[in-house]
Amino acid sequence: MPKTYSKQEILSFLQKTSLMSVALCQKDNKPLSTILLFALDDDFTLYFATISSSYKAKAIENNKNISFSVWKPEEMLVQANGVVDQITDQKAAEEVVDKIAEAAASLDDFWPPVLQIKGHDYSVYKVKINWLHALDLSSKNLVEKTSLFTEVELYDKT
Amino acid sequence: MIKHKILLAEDDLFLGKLSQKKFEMSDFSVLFLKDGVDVLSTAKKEKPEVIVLDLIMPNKDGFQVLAELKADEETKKIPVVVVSALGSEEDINKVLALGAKKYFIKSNVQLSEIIKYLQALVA
Repeated sequence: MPKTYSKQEILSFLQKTSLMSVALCQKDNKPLSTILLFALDDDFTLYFATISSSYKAKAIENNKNISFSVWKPEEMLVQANGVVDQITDQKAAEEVVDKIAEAAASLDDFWPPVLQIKGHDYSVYKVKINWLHALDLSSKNLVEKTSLFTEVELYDKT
Repeated sequence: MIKHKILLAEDDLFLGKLSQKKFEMSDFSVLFLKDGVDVLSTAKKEKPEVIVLDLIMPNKDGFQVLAELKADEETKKIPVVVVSALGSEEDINKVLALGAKKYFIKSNVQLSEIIKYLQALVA
């Protein structure tokens, strides 16, 4: 049988992974998919940053819902949805950029694309995750009529 | 282990922080500045073994910073490694003529190459 996961196992997986695939919604309901670096706190608050003039930042202005996936072959897939909030306090935003840089530094030889000569202005965001499930990708067993995903309640509903 | 001290001047917050983390993982200690204004005074005070310098920065650009560093008795011997998005032959020649030890073009380099160069420089 595929494994089921505890919150802590999912948290550990996400914290050792730094890249996520993201879906956002632009004006006129046009979808936008992209990849982003992220960092995750122990309470599942997720952080990311993007260039302030980017399509991603504009999409978030339009619609604060986000869907993302993180996966590693032969290990785990995590899919989640959440709501994005911009961090406007400069000191807090710099601390988040520091966390994301720390996460990116764990990737071998990661160097982001240099798109302009002048340094970028970044918009920094946090995500409150409101739905998350995880799938064991290491299992070779097939099951029928049963969800293979571990559904996780991140927060008490009270 | 003694950590080699680097002064890093980079106006892009994310690139600066990422470089800082990678340098620290390679046993350098890093002073990170986001513009060129404080480079000369920090270099005089902290005596870094190497200065890693961006060229396009707010308030004071890297060309001016480099010229000031090389004109000052206290800092002129500190090797300056330029890491810039500018890639024209004219800019590279200008920087090398001002006294930079090495020029890396951001879009053509991996951080590991820069780290390897810095490690050889301080060895």
